[in-house]
Amino acid sequence: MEAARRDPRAFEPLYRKYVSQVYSFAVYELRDHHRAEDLTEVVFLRALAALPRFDERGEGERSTFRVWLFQIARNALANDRRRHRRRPEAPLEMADLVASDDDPAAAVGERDAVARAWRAIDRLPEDRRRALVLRFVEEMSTSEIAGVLGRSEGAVRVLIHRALRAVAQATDDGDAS
Amino acid sequence: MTFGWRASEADDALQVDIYLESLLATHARSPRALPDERLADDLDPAERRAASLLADHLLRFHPSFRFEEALAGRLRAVADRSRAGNPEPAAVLPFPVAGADRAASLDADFRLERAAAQERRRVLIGGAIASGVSLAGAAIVAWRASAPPRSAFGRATRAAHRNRSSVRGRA
Repeated sequence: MEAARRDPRAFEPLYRKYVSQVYSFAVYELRDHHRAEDLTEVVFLRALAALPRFDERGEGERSTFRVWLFQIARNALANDRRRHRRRPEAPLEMADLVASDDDPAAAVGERDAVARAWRAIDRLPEDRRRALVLRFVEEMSTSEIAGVLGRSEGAVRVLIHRALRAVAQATDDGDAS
Repeated sequence: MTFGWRASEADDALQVDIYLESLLATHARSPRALPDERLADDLDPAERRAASLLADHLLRFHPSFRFEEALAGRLRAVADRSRAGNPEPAAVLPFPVAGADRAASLDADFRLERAAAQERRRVLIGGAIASGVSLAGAAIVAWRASAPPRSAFGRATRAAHRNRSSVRGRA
């Protein structure tokens, strides 16, 4: 990190480490791989330009670089939303990604559950969905998510719990029917 | 001060958070391993199932290799320029795709595939590096065509090619 701040050419290892995380976050938000690529590009160009102003608050595993990078991503997303002025239309069909198992009936059941879960995530308010994705996909801690979203840790825990409850309700309703 | 949620909800959320921490840490070690079930005693079983489903199936997407490498190249170019004391920000310029010379920008290459669906789109041009590269490429090709080959084999190959071309021309 320090090396990259002194010499921008040392930025590449940071880029390699985080590119799939930023891209993945963008895909979940935008549901469009091309727009996600554009957003990823904007995020890293901005990060490189702003790196001398980045204020590192931790060391090693506790580095705050990822939080800072995702704050840039969040701002870039807000700009993207203002430009496009519409919610993503195409839902990601996560159910297609469920690998077929040795037991076809179980695989079908699981695929249905994943489809219901994804539809529930799709209906969540933006902050809950975002917190859930940062927790499960990016495997961020509550404190990191709080930093990215600009909320308290308590608020983030409640957001995630409410999101999880909505998903649980949707998947359970399907099991009951 | 009210935060818009009840104290008991905050307690429940904390319990879920501790469980998720354990679930995701266990999942990172082995997707089939189970978290410490003692942490789940007071948790709603439906929420536990949902958490497990999400841990298994909310996947991380990876960008294409081509995109990743193209962006790495662009970042290197920006870093080099910044290091050279010319850190002007990249400018956003309109990029007319129709009729654009594909070789005009190595950097724009990966974007052209998607541009078919949109007549005009915007592309970040960080400077004149791309056009410089393409000019240098054209100069090298022109030099290779006109310079005499160094080796005897090269000269023989070129002579044979000239003869064949002139025979075709007469035919």
